[in-house]
Amino acid sequence: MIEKLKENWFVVLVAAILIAAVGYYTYDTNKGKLPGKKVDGKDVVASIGDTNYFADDLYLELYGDESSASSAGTQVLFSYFERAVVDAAISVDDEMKTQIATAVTSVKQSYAGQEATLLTQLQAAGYSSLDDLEAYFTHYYKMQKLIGDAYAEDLENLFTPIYEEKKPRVVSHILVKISDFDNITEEEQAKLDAVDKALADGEDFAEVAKEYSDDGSASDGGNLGYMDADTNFVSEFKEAALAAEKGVVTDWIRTEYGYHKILVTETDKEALMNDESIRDDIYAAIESANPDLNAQIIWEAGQKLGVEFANENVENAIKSYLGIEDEE
Amino acid sequence: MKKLLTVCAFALLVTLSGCKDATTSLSDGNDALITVGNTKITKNDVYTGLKSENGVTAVISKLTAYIVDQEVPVTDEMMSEAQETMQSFKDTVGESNWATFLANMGYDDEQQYLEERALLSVRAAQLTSKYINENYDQIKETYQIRKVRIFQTTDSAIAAEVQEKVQNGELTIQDAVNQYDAVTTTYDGSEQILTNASGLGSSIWENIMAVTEDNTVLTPYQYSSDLSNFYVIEVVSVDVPLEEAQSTIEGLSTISDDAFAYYLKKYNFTVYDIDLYNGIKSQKASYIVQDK
Repeated sequence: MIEKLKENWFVVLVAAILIAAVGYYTYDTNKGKLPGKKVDGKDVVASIGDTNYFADDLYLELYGDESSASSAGTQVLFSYFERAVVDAAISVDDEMKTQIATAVTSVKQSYAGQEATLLTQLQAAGYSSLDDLEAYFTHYYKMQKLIGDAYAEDLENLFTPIYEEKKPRVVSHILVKISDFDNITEEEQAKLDAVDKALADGEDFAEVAKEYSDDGSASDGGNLGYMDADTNFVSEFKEAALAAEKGVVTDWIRTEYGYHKILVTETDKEALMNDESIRDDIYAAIESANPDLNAQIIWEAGQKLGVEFANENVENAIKSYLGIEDEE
Repeated sequence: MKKLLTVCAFALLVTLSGCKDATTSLSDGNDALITVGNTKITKNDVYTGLKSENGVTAVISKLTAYIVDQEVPVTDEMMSEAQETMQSFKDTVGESNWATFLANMGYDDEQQYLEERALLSVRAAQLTSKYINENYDQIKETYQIRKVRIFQTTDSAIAAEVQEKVQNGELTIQDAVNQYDAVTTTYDGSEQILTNASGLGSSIWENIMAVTEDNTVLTPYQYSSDLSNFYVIEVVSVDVPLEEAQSTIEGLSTISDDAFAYYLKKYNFTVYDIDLYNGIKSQKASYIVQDK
């Protein structure tokens, strides 16, 4: 043996150096690392005195009642379920890739120097680090698409009740701000008169709005977009806009902001449903009118992918959380 | 030679696998709670989510329970206080909602709530007092506890006048505060216990700390760094007994954390999960008492 080692002294030397290097590397890389602990094969989270706290026990304590929709465990489980469904149901196309990249860049720029705040917000949404920003937006846009596709597929059925009950329409207005209604200034009165004259002369409403309106919508021809009976406008304005006929400019409507001329530009159901510019507003109205709809869409998407639950408690808790327990 | 290479490769593998901070997982953590298509949502996934949301609070609660069990035996008085607290809370929640409240909070019954919440809270409150009682000498040194009388004014001429009269024995600081009450601020001239966390300027505090004998009037009068306030100060006692300092110490914002950290160290608290380690460190850095 010794003879062999002597014969291969160079190999032995190289081996010894390698082993020493590996030993040092092991020491160096583990220096400052948090060590783990196992007792009877179970991970220990923390110890104090002679007592060990196990990961298994911490999980049970944090999870709460497995069969309850309101337990912390069910809520966390649902967030993973939702992500898994959306992730599998929707794939990322080039357009979405661009949207995600733009959103990530924009948020990073907005939060430059405030990364701690951003991290807190990401953690509140169930993510663990700033590196998850892309994953967050990927999920966000996938979710938008899943919900949007489902709404689009059944738009007629979903929008009709809103159309019948809430008088949806597209409106524009011209605002002349009045600082004191009891003492209207010459300038304010001149503007009111000029608007009246322009409209009486048959000038285009949008052009008059661009020229005279004191509202931020002036540059867009006074266009306020979609509104319905649930829209959060001041009551005098909302009542007048909902009562107005399409294409007929109202009389001056007084609100706390000043005097408004209102023009309803669209009330036709098909036209509203086909107008891309108000699609998000229509979807928001649908979501507001159907609070459980999104959960149901996620559930149905999950069903198409195939969902298996570990046990009845978990299944019932998730269904209850989604508000769909009675539909099975 | 092949054997040698195998040994080296194995050693490298061991090295690389051991060079990460530890995280914990469940014994049955790979079991799926839900499977969606090909994606498994495992118990470990949910454990990680739960741990990041409430893990730190749960662990600190466990540690509190352990420490009070060692340090604060239950007395009849504490039990009564806990029962009163619980009853008061029960009245707020309402008798009809009480059972639901207990269930939602994860308690099996009222008794469990009493022992694990109300009584624990009463016992935990005693920990700080116990710490102060047992470690007063060290606390006295850390917080530099002194008994003083202070006359404070924004007028340097008055401060000079009072300083002279106090030094000559014509006035006590208390008398000076009464006599010049129209121009004095903040301090009422009575004996009071101060610490280095009391908010006096650091140079003033250094001068107070330089005093070694009781009933010493600082000379000359003191002033704030921006020269907006002037003080005539008498150090009444450089060695304040615990019974006089107790309430001041209990009012220190950091003392309960000091106490808890002390007991964590005493009982060798060690955390073995990097997520919890970082969570505790960011919320209560002094609670990390181990060498990483």
